[in-house]
Amino acid sequence: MFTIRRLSKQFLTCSVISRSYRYLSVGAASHKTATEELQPTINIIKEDLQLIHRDILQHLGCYEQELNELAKYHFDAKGKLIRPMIICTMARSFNQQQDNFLHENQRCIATLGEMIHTASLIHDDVVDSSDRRRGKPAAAVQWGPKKAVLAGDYILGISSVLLARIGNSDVVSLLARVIQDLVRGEFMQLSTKESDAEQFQDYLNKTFCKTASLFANTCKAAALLGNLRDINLNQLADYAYEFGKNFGMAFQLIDDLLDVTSTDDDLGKPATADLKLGLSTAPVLFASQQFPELQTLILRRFSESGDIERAVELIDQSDGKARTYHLAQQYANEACRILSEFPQSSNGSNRFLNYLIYLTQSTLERRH
Amino acid sequence: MRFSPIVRFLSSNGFYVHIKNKTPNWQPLLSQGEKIIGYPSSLHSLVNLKYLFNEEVSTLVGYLRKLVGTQHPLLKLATNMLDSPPKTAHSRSLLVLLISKAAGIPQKNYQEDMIKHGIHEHQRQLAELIEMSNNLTLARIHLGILGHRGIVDLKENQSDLEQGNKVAVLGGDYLLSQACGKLAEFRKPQVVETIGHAIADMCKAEFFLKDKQSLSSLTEWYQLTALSVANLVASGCRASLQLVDHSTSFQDQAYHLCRHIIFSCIMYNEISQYSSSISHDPASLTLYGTVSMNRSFPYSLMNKSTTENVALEQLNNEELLDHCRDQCLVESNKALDLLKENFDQKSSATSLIRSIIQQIQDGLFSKKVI
Repeated sequence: MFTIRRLSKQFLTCSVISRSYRYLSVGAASHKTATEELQPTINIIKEDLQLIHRDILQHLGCYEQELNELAKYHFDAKGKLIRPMIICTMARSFNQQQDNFLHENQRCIATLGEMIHTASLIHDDVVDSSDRRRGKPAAAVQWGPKKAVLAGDYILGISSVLLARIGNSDVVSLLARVIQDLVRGEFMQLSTKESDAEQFQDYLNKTFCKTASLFANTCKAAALLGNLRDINLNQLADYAYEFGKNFGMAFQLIDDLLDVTSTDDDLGKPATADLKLGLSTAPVLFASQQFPELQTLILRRFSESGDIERAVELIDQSDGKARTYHLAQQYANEACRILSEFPQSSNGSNRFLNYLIYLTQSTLERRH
Repeated sequence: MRFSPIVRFLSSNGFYVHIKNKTPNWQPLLSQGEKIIGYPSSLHSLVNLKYLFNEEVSTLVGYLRKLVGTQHPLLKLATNMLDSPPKTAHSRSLLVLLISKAAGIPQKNYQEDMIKHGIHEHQRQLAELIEMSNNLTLARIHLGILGHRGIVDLKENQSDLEQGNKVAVLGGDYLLSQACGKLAEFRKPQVVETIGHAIADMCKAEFFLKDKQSLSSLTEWYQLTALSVANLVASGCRASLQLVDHSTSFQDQAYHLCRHIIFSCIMYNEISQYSSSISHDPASLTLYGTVSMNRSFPYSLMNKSTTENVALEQLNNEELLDHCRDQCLVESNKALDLLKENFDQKSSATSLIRSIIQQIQDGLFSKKVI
């Protein structure tokens, strides 16, 4: 509560942002008004996303028919495209300073964000032996693990080519960092730490590596490519990084929360998937502070029959879900606070900053 | 069966060699090559030691241990990687570095402290990276057993196989992420682009033939060999010249030189594989480098109707093999021609590359073993 009060105070000092912030913090009715007001902005970003989707299919095209099909398989209409959405909005909010235009290189970063993410999903599905992804059979089920993994490598290869063509070494380093973090995160999932204090820190690190790093580094890259004059570019890029990081953490915490609350159909993939993989996420880690018997289950990675059911039961009895939501809220609030440090748009509308705030808030409310 | 270091060297180099093939004698050439590029002999593993001391690798080793006693083919790969003598280790990088040294370093870019034995420090790191990418291919090759998912009999082994696949994916991803980091450190986006293309090509190789198992033309052999082996090493050469700012045309020249050398070597070895009677011995075909008959170079040159089933003996046909030798000669002559211009003719690396190619040509003409 304290954080929120502190944050709203800060927003009041810059009136334009705080207006939509207030909209978002009070109930559903005003939520609708906010959406209406944002509609023109949403449409602009929607067009960007369409171009990105087209670009991805174009770049991945190749003569090897099967690879052509497989590489494009998970880039259908079902994806939420949340990564490119955030990156484009972020980039446009900076560009409002100068030319109000999304630069091709920035759009490329948004494209790369989605491509790298999808490549990692394809590999994750093989490592985790998952069968479903985005409402259809995982690529590995359809084509076998070898071809699926190679398609992931292929997407990564094409991504490096696109990345290199931007011609900026700093941006290359940022995106290389993303890939290293994704792999490190995948490795961290293989083991469970012994003590509960370590477990939570480990969980946060893992969440950063697997989700937040991509948001953070791509946002920073989009800022660096903004070609902004008269401002401290490096500081701005760092803010963009911090926003991405906090947004990413909030996003993943909600994802982990949905994993224990939603049904398979909502998610397009099996629910309680994390527990089935032996992974302990925020809800169960919080619950274990109330019900120490969960520690045993966490340490044996829910491997015995009945473990998952028991864990779900105890999570339901505990305040694990509420605390997870609260933690996600804190990250989201921090992300919004950082946005208030961003430069205002020259025409005073701040429409893209407002949309970023809206996206951050609605991440907390999403159901899938 | 133990293979001699030479055989292991060549096979891991994409130089698929018939194990009983005694000519040409590569050993002196290769040790000479290592002297020329000045590799520290203390470097014993292809995975440089600095990559071994971290959490990711120890996790992988832990997983590999669990696989001991199972039939997972990944174990064989791991044994090969850890057990291989230092000579095997730097085989692909050797070619990249020899060509780099033969190309020299432009005067304007000469940083005394970064250059040893005529090779820039970054070029060495790049060569190591090419070696790593090769192991990525190997890790990926060992995936795929899970295709048998539905088969009930496999139930018992299922978890072993899943574990094995896990390691194969993670191990490969680890190598890939290391390569990304290394490439970024060079601060030359061009180099990233070149290697990105090479990785995409490597992946295309698996899909090239679609469902059909056999090659139908020489062109297809060239395309498949380029995608699966030659482009990676040749891109390594191009990237290496990019690192020291050679001109684009010279980069292309090095790229094509490397491709012609690799094509010649593979052609030579595949000719020898089918021209001697020993090719019936199954043990001699167990090297992972050997390709199946219907993807081999002589097979691609055969006149055959599509329905015909080709027997191994049909490849051991003098007329066909002479045709193959001619093609290999054309290929190696292209390499010699490319070597004549722009490369430093006084460099020991240039003369060594030339003698490697000449050894192949001598082997073709002598027909002693071939």
